[in-house]
Amino acid sequence: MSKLDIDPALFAQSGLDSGALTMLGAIVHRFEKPGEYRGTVRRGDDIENVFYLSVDPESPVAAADIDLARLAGSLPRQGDAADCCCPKPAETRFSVNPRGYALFRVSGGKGGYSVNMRRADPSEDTPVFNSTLLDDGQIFSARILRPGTYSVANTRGRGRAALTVGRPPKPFSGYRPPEPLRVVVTEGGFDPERMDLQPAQGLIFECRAPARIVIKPERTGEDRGGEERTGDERAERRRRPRAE
Amino acid sequence: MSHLTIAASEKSFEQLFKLVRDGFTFAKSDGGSFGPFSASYTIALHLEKGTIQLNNDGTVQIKALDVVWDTLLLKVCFDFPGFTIPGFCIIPDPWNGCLVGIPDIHIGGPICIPLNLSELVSEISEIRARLDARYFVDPGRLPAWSDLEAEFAGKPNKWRIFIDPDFVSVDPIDIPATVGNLFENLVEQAIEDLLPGWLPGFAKDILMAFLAPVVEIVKGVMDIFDSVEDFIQDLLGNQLDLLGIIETIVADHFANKYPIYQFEDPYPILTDGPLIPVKIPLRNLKADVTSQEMIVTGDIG
Repeated sequence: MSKLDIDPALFAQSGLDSGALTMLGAIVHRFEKPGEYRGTVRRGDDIENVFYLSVDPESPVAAADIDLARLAGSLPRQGDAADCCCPKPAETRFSVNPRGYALFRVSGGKGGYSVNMRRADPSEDTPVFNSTLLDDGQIFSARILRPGTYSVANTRGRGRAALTVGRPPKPFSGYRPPEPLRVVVTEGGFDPERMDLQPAQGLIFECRAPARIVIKPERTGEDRGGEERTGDERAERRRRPRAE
Repeated sequence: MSHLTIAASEKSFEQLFKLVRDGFTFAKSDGGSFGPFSASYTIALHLEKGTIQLNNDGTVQIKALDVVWDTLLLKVCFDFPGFTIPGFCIIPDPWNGCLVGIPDIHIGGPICIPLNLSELVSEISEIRARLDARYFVDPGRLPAWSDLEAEFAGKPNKWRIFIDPDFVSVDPIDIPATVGNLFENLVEQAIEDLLPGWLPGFAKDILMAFLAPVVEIVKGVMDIFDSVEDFIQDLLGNQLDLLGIIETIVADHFANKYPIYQFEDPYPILTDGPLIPVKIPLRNLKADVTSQEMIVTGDIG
């Protein structure tokens, strides 16, 4: 029986950065002014692709789902792992209602993406949105899978916080993470300053001040927890009838 | 009135029956698709035990005939619904759930569960049959041959007496409760085996934690009504129709493949001495039973 096809990037990363999005991070922004916007998907200084967002009062779309990995062409084509799946022209155009939101996320691959948006009119070159610097009203959501302790920092401000992620429960327990934890980011820092999460529990940073949020591992509990868990599992299995 | 009458006691009939029973073997592999899952099997079986009762109405009753599964391999494959890393809502919609949310991450694929049920024993509760005498011409006998030439060639004509079933009643294959536990353990193992070897320990831990108890997964995917062992019993007996197959092949074995007795035609009556045997032709052979014995009658000439 063949193994499952799991994106290695899902479990390989250990930290998150709101300025370099991966599968475990996303940004939400509301474009309140109607009009045409042009965005660039970047990885570092490299522009991976260009897309367009139409903010239209007539649009029924309340949440525009913008997959940066797909725009950058870094997702494998179905049935053809060798080639990337480059988006068709129609797939680089999005629309949203001014009362709705744009969700910038990464559905696969290594990530490290940021987004820069301005008005599509060439005469208007003022940047409208830059995901490497979040501001009031913007949201960074994170999901941390690896148990351990982490530091949380706002590299554009003074905020510092401590974050722990607990170990998962036993196999086949039907575990579901609790509701996401909401953290307010202000000039003064994070509220709360201490975040205790369960594995895969969502973390939502609601920005009230300029921010770039970086989460770094300090001590991951994988090895220690994994050994204990494996030992527990072995003991549990010894008590149950074994398969032939 | 018949020229010839031969009788065999019930005890002798039993001995003859045992030869027919022991001459039976069967093997087969097949499978099918049943919506959310597919299943395949490999079987090999033989018969043991069984009691004989001869009746005055001319019927033969065979009871408690064991079907011994020398090989009973079952493989069930289904699309494992997978591991889901749940998403969450970022901006709720006061009227309709969630306005902006992070989607689930689904990871799934097919799994197959092999189950070895060899050495199980099920039962044919009853076969009710009548004796049927049929004339047999060996297909290897050339049309121009005389009876003597046919005998020298080892291809004489024969009268064959078969036990011809009116019905064969097979009991459902009884699956012990331990098989249910075994199946669940195998599903757990198969799910774990899906995970790539490079996956870090914490990742395996969290993916496995997301899963509901195996019995719920199995019941949900395969729409199992009661216990897993009941499901397997129904799968084998009805959906894969092993009961029907047994009924057919056992009936065919007794009715067409393995006669309980056979007579050469012409029948040798004087075989001693240096000369070729003296033989008499048999006609209109009939076979019947009473509660005491099997009786074969026929005419000469």
